[in-house]
Amino acid sequence: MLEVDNVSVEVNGVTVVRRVSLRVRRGEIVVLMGPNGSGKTSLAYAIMGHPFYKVVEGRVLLEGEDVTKLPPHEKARRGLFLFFQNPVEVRGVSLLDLIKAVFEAGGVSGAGVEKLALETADKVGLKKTLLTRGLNEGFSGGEKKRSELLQAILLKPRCLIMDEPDSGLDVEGVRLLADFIRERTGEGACFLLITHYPNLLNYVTPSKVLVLAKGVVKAEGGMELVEKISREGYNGLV
Amino acid sequence: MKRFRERGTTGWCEGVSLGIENLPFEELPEVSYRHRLEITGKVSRSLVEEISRVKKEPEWMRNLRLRALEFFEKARIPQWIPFIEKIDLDEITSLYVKPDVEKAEKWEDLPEEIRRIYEKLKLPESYAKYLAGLTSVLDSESVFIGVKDYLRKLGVVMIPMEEAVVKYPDLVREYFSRVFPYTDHKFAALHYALWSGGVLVYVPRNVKVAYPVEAFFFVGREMEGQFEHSLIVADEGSEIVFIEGCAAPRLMRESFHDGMVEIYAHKASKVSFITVQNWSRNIVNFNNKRAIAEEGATVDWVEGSIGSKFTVTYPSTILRGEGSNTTSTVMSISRGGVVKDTGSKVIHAAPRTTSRVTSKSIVADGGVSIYRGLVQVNKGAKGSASYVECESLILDEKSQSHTYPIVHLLDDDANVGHEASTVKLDEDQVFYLTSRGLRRNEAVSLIIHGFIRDVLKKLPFEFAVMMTRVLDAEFGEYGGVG
Amino acid sequence: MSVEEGFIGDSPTIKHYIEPREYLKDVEESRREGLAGGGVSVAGGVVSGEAGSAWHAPGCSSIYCQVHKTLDPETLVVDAGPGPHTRVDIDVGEGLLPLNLELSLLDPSLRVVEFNVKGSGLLSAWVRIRGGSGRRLVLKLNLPKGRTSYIGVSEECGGYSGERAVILESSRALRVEEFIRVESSSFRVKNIVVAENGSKLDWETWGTAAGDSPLLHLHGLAVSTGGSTTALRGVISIHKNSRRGSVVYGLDSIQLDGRSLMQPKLEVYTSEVKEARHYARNVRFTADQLFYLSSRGLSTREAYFLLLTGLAKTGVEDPEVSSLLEHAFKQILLKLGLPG
Repeated sequence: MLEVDNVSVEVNGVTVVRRVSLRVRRGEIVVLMGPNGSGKTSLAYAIMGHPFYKVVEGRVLLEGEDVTKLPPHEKARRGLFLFFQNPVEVRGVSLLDLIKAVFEAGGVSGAGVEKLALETADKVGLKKTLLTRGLNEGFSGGEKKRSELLQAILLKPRCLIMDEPDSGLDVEGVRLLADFIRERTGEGACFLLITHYPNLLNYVTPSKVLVLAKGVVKAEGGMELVEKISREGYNGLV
Repeated sequence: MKRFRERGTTGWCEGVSLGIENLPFEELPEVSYRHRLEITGKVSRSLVEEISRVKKEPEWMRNLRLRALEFFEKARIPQWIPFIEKIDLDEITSLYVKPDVEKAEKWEDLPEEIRRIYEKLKLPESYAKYLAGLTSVLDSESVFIGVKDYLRKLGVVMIPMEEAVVKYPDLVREYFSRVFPYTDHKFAALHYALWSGGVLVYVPRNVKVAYPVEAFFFVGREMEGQFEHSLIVADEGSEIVFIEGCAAPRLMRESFHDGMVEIYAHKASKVSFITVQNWSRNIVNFNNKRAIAEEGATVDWVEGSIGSKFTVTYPSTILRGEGSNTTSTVMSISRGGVVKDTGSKVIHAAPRTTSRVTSKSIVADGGVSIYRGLVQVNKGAKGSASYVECESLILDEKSQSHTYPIVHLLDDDANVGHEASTVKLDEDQVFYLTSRGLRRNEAVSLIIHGFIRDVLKKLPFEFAVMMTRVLDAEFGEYGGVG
Repeated sequence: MSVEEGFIGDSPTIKHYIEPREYLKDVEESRREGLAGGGVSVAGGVVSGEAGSAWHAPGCSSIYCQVHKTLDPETLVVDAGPGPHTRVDIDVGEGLLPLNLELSLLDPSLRVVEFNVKGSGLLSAWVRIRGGSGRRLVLKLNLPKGRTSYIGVSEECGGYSGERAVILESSRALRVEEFIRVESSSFRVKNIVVAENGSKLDWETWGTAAGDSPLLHLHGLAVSTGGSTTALRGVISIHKNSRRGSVVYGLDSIQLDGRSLMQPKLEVYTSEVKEARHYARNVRFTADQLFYLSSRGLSTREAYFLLLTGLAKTGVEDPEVSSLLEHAFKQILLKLGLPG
């Protein structure tokens, strides 16, 4: 379970998120929507612990433990995963290198990882050559998302924050994503889904929808909120 | 007009330290195919003194010339110049040529033959249409100086360099030869001994000149030397675009051009310097260009190098002030027995400075293209970033392309990258285009245009058009040969 | 011709390189002192005595190389193998040890040759590598503090492919000259140099790609730490009569605390090239990159390791060579006490 309790986030001294609270229980999907610049990604980064996105107020709890001040890797080891909207390029480090390193850091032998990774690459439709190239270097938008998905599958996190996972993916890719979310929620994982378009929500059903604007929660509801936004945009809500 | 303090110095270099490291010119190892530049003949002291006398220069300038001459005589030919071009100074009979023309401020006042040349080069048209100022140097003197009222009203000073020496001695003394000392290399020294012509442009504080100004250099005769010196000083917060155009008719024998441009960009100013060089095939062209950028200033160099037999030019910028930045975009064509030795030098001497260099060259028919670049990050220049990108297109097996980058990182907090590649004409691309109905030479033209598109974008429209036409003329038939 | 006249030196304004004249003085001093080096011994290889043919050092035009010839070096011919590890113990003592080493690789199995240098004396060595098709070699060198030393490495690759990696650690001023000639074959080189303890490392390469479809990919990685200076420079040329050549000359540098100078020169004499490119970059890891790796569960230190070893593997094709380099590099990083 992920709890965000009255969290405010500052970037470069500017408040970009103000007193946001939300809770995602096991097996639950909570959707966070909002226009550009509303603070969704800032919130995601702050929850994960990016050094430039400071939580200046409130707490973040993972399975009841206050993880607000922990560095990102400690949060990751406790089961938190951030599915990046725009994963950074890392020259010289391949996807395979990264997975192996993470497994080894977690005390699991790297042997057999390669085989597993290859199988998973097939499942998510990621070309094998991309496993050994520099991470995200020259990857298309869709390939970057599939690379994130592959990591999410292999690392088996318990609580996932997904920042616009469907943008840039074709129909096939979106369905894969949806299958993954459904499967994992069935296993008790929790999802905080940040999305701009209601695309993915044709396939998965959130239990709650929050609308963020200018760093503040402006509306709360269910799927009917999503439908309203599809029809009318954010006018009237923000 | 800003008053300049008299510096209590006698010599040009005493007292003021600009913190310029001696720009290191890399010594190339001795390899058999390389020759060396030879300068024979003498420059007589009396000639230098005569030049100074005719120009009615103050003593400090004459002394500078003579000291430079001394240095020139003692200095070695820089080892890094790889090709022999024999320049016999005795043969270059006219190191100083005063054209028999009175300086004019209106086109109509110029003698007819001269005016016709300029009309052919479309200068009067350019001046009328889109330049704020134009100075035209014929042989060794400025013959035309047009400064529109627009400039005058802004308080911008644009006058021939010799006049500036007399009219604004403090200003000149403060900057002249401070950006580029004569001790830098032999040809810089030669330049200082013989300099004549050129322009001083001073832009007052916060003045943003909306239209470009141009200096146009024309070498009228063969066996001639041209040594113009331009000095551009942009005061705090000012902005100016300066265009330098060069041409010469098709001469039978060599002429030698050893010009210099010094730019001083004060805090938060912006100077763009554009050179479109289309010297004829027997000119040996040295172009010494350097700028100093103070805090938050920007210096942009753009160079389109089409002509000449042998060109050596390295626009350089010293990023002395925090947050200053510079870009350099160079495009060179070497067709036939032409050598283009071009590049850029950037010294990051302050924190958070940035530079970006793009160089594109096309070689064909035995041409040689050399890119030499230096990016140096001095200790203390934290948070600086530099990116250099060079691409060279070789069109046949007779030609050569060499890249010699130097990256010196004396501080460990800098983000620096240099990438270069040499490519040949992609026959797959040609095939694709011809399969769509283009003739081979049209396809090749298209590919070449695509190759230099980024550079063309930075040139003023008229020049971009001219460059395109020249490229078509030069390389159009590249397709034709099987 | 006196040494001075034949001297092809560096630009005197670049004071960060090793000063050849100082090296000369060191050599003179060592000679005068008359202390001989301790000697060389080889383990895990077969020493076959004096070289049959006259020693031939291609491209020997630098002052360092010319001086080496005058030192009358002992020649050792070593056939690496049959096992994968060969160790060459070099005891320079406090004097001067001139050495010619001819290293033969007899088959395509991976060979690791480790040079274990002891003593603070001056080492002037030539290493000539010969071998057959598909050879793979990893050279490990470690030079402790001592007098400015010189190592020349030459390889000729005709008609077959090969891969060579060097991982060199030095705490003394060191000049390395490398000569590679690739003729109608493929050769990949990875040079990793780590300069420690305020030392200067000047590595200069001369490479040529000639013949039909030659491939010469040289990647260098320089790590400067403890106030050291690394200079990776050289020139790789594509021969005029070569066809479909592929040359990549790439240099990366990591400044942990030191200076980095890079000059990868590329000369292309023909348009019949498949690929000709070079680069010189220094590596800075961004906060975003570290955050990304951290968000996957890697501590800062683990993230740095991953990023740095990734660089060590850039340009290396052979998986065995790759993992060997990764391991060796990791050991060095651990020793240096990475940030984290």
